[in-house]
Amino acid sequence: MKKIAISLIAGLLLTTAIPAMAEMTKEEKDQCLLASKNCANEVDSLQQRIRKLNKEIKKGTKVYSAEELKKLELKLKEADEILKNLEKPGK
Amino acid sequence: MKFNKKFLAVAAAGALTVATAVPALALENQFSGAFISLYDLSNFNAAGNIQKDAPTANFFEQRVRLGYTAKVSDDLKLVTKFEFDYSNWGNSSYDSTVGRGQGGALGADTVNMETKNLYLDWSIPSAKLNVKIGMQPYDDSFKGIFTSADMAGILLTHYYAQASTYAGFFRWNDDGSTTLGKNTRDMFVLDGKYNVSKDTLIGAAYYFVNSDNVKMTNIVSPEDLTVHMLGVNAATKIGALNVDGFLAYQFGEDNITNVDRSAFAANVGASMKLNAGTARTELLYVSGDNNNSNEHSFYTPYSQKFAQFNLAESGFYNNEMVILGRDKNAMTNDNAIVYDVNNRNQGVIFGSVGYDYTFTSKLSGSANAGFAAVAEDNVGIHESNYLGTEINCELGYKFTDNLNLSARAAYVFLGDYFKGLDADDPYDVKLLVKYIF
Repeated sequence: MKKIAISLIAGLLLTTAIPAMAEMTKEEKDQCLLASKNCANEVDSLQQRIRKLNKEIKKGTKVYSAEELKKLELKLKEADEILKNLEKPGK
Repeated sequence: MKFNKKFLAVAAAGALTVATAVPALALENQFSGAFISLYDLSNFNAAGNIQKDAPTANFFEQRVRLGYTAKVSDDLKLVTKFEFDYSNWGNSSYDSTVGRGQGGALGADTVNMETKNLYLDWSIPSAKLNVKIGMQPYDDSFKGIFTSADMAGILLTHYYAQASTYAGFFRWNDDGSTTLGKNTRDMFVLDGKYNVSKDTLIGAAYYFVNSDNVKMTNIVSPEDLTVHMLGVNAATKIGALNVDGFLAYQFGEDNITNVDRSAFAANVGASMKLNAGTARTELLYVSGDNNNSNEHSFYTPYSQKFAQFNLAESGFYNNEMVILGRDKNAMTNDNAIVYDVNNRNQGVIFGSVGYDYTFTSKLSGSANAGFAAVAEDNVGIHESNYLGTEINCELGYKFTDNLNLSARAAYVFLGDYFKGLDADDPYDVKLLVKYIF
């Protein structure tokens, strides 16, 4: 019983370890540490977000439904407003 | 020992439950920000004086804005924004009492955080309704000539297929001198916009300001008045030409002087692609008084602390002026010959032309020329209503998507309004670095 339990645990550990090993081989460089690129928790800057939204909206009804397009347009408006407010002049 | 095992099992089960519960409580954390720093060389900014033998000032100024939005879904979010300014490098350090814009001197360590926005942004899609509650940015529908500022209130927006309507209440001031809610300055908003076609938008708005005996710093009399503002606006595209403009009328009463107000403003703007650039023009007329009585002057709200004629909570930037009108790049040191369209109760006539040109994907430029005159001279000692003519140019280099370097220079040929002062023509040169993410 004990042996079965130990082999099960070992198997579990091995499976969870595999992706971590697969992520990085000896030849690969960690671009996140080296150049702040491809980090797991990377998010778009405002400018990237605006560019991506414009690109998706351009695809139009061939790809998105009217409802989805409206959602994307609202998100673009929201991003534009954040940008405008960050640069808003005044004391 | 037995207890420990049980406890560990329960703790492990608890941790697992929390871990699996996280996706259901997913929260999108959105951060945004801007860093702007400039070097200014000017005989006008930062003092803002038109004078003979005007001294040339040079200073560095800096601003950081940080925004954080906690988004539970597209329909529910908390929006926050904070600002940290050094009005000029070297101004003070280790300062905890008067920290706004301070802390730029050796040692830093000054409390200088400013809270700009704290509001809840809540949408109810089934009702096509959006609600914003709290301290939020609000711009009027008239290119900012009436109000464009951060203010606490409630704004409701209802969306239709081709239109949107807005209703809002903002508490601008409550000086608390008696019972809270008594000596207040409030603004009410009713606004509507309708898309006539893909290229044409029309709108109408009504704003009501009720200032009820609100004490103003630096002014002997409190502000006690009502202002009603009615206006229409429109924007359309005719071929390559974009045209927009508005008409606005104000009426109401000053309860201290018993003067009835009757003021108006009119604007038309146009822009058009021309070769590889865009040509622009703006014309603005705002009525004024020749006797400083507020009878025909356009009401623009000042902050309670910086009243009067010092910190207008409005701003007309479309004419791209630097000295004649407020500079879009100005931060804490923000001066202009025509600071707002009330213009010390004199009103204004503004005209400008400009041209934006894109040299390469990274390099762009802009040139502007404009004039300003008071609509009415309320002192009556000036030789003319003509304030001056400004020329300015700007060059911008996009180093990366997020980083912009730019330079802007402006010069004003003073008009005969200032002839009695024998003043120097003002100039201003700014070098800027702007990082936005």
